[in-house]
Amino acid sequence: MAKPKLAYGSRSLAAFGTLMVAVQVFHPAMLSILQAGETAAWLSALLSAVLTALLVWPVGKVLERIPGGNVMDLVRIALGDFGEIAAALVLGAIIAHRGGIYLRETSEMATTAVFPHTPQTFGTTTILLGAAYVAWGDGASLVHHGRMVLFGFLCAVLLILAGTFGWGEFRYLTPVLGPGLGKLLAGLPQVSSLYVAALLPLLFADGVERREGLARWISVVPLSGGIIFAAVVLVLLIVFPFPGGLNIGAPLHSAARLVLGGRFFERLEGFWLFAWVETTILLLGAMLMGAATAFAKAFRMDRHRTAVLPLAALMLTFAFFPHDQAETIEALHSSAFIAFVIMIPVPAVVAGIAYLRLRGRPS
Amino acid sequence: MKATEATVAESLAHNRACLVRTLYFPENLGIEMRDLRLPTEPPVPALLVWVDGLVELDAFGAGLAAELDRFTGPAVPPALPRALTVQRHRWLRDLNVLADAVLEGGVALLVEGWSAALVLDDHERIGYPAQKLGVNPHTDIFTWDLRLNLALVRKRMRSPRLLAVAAPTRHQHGAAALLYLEGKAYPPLVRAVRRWVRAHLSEPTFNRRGIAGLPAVFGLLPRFRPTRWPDEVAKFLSEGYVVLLTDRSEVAYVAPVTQAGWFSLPSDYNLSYPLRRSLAYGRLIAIQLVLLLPGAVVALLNYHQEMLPTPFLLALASTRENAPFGLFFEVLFLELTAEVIRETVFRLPVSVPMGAGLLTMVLLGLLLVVTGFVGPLPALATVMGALLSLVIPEYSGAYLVRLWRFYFLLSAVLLGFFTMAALFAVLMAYVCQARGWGVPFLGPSGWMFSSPESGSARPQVRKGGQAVGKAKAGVR
Repeated sequence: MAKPKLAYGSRSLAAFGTLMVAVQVFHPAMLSILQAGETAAWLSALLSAVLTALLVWPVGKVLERIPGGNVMDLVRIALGDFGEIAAALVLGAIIAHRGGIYLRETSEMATTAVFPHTPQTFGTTTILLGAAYVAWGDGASLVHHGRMVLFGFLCAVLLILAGTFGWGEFRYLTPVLGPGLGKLLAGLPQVSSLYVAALLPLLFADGVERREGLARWISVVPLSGGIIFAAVVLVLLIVFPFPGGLNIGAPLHSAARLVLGGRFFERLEGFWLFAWVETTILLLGAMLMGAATAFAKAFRMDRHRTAVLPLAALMLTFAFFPHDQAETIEALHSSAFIAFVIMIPVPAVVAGIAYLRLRGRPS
Repeated sequence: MKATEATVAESLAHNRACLVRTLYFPENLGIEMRDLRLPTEPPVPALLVWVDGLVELDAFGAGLAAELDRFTGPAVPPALPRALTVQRHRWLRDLNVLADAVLEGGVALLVEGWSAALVLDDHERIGYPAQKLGVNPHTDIFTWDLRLNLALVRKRMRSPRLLAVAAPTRHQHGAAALLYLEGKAYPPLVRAVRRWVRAHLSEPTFNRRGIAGLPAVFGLLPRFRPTRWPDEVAKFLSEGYVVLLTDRSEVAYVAPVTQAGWFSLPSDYNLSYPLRRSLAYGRLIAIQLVLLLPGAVVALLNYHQEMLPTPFLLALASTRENAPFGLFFEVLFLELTAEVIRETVFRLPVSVPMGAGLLTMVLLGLLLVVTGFVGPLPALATVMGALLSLVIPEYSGAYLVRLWRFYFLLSAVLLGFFTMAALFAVLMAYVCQARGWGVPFLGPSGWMFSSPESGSARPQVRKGGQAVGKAKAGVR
């Protein structure tokens, strides 16, 4: 029997997307929320989630009309074949860059926090090999993998939050509006960069068989991710008060150190390595596969696998551009806004053009 | 069952045609029909229908057939049962009920000109109680006889929709039968297994290599899940799986391999839903502990000592003060010893309960700890792992899990939980990607979201198949 391409449901896609967005609670990318929102960072996370949901909803709505299509099909409809190739190249470059930074950042964090004598190359190569294997599979497997891991991931995050809640003081949440409403709103695009992973469900939307409600479930991705971010930020703010908390590289990992499991388990952060590393591998694998799928569509390749290894090599190259952890975090913040604009608002505009072109045609 | 509203007619040809249709004769293996003529004056054509294996052939041949041959009385319905030495008989007019009676082990006699069929219920003979050691309450076990094995399955599952069709093989003298539930099993899956059997089942596979051992391409998971228990086969058939039975083999091969099929038992059906689910989660946790415990011990003591309180850590260190090997070799030695003990117990010519093997492990571990050869924590992890691995009902499944724990042990040596987590992600990706005959191995894994593709194991086998069909039809 031939190996089939299996389909999946919108809810599975939403669960997968939620995980892809929420994985970043373990990463220093979280600090951008704290920087922009200060003591109102939780509110900032929620507002930017709503903003992102409003931007991805029209994309999902147009995708509902294209059975078996993803965001790259929208680009082709809106901008033609040349536009699709250009979009695939830009997307590949951005994903490889972001992925490389995530890769380096995870490796740096692991080295700094857990294994101080381990060379960076070992950490990055281990994670990248895992991610390449994940990307070697098919979209349905990846989506199901993400849906399964989400449950464990949420348990892990909730355990940290419950374990550290007792250390916090609510007075650190004041002033409630942080830097003020104006600055809070102005900082939303910066915070929204955390939601660039919401593009991944748009790339994997081609496997969704029943298209009804696709837009709704795609909008759920940033919203549910935003709720997780807000909960984590809320606890981090009361445990590591602003602005001192900004100096902590991986805040959730530091919070995990505070969890006490009685006399026999004093510092449990080793357990959370599982959730951290596994979800990071999954995120990087999904990024690799997403970019490879875009390449495969644009260049009419039979299989996305052809592009996985070159993209993985590019990712590894980007991972070694920064010299140290500080430069890695800097690179992450500096590229965040551009990545967000290209990966979320631009597809929304493209979806609008595609909608105009599709208008009057039967779905 | 194909709907036949027919009742028994006076025309024997009509009755025969209806039964042929209902019982899928002659392609349905095991269904026997024999034409005879009652030696009355004038001779009357008659038809005997029974299921081979459910009815003891020798007794049948020597008894009933001989009595029928000697029957010279008037060819009227009341006369015949009186002439036969049967204790129980009944008259049936509905052909569907008649087919059910045949599948229940009765012998049906239809005579030309009679508007009712005689069913003789004395002939059911099958039933070889064999108590499996351990916790699984199976009562029957397959034998080396294909005919008998088919009957054992039919005894468990008396549905006219259960088809046992001959599967041609490359082996000249090797008979094989495919069993599936018509209307439940997905036809492309049946066709694919049949094609595979024709292409691959040759003499070496029959005689030496076995069938389940033939792995899927690039996969660690086998193509078939072997079982020796008819009740398990009946459970699989009712869920839409396809079963391969071969001559001269006491093992049935179930396709496709799914985690639900591997880690569940027929007795699970007797439990209420919450209990069944909690049992499934319990098994899942146990499997993960079996996989991770030895590696976790190495990771904990080599890389993550901060997770243990200092006095406890010092106590552990003092117990290993005179240990001749490093921690990794210590755990590896213990795990390999446990494997050898388990395998020895399993292969003993006399059946020994698995508990004896566990007791041996505990005693040996205790001796090794007392003599200072190994530390107590690795010994505890090994014994716990051995105990927990028993929750996996099927041997090959348990073996695969036990094999993977060695990979986790090796990864733990590299960078503790970090590399273990990376390997875990790869393993998860592998099992998510793994498919047997187009059906995902993980199948029903909707732990949180009840999406259309998740659910119980039953629709999943078909669901995978349907997805295959849709993919071929170009939906995607």
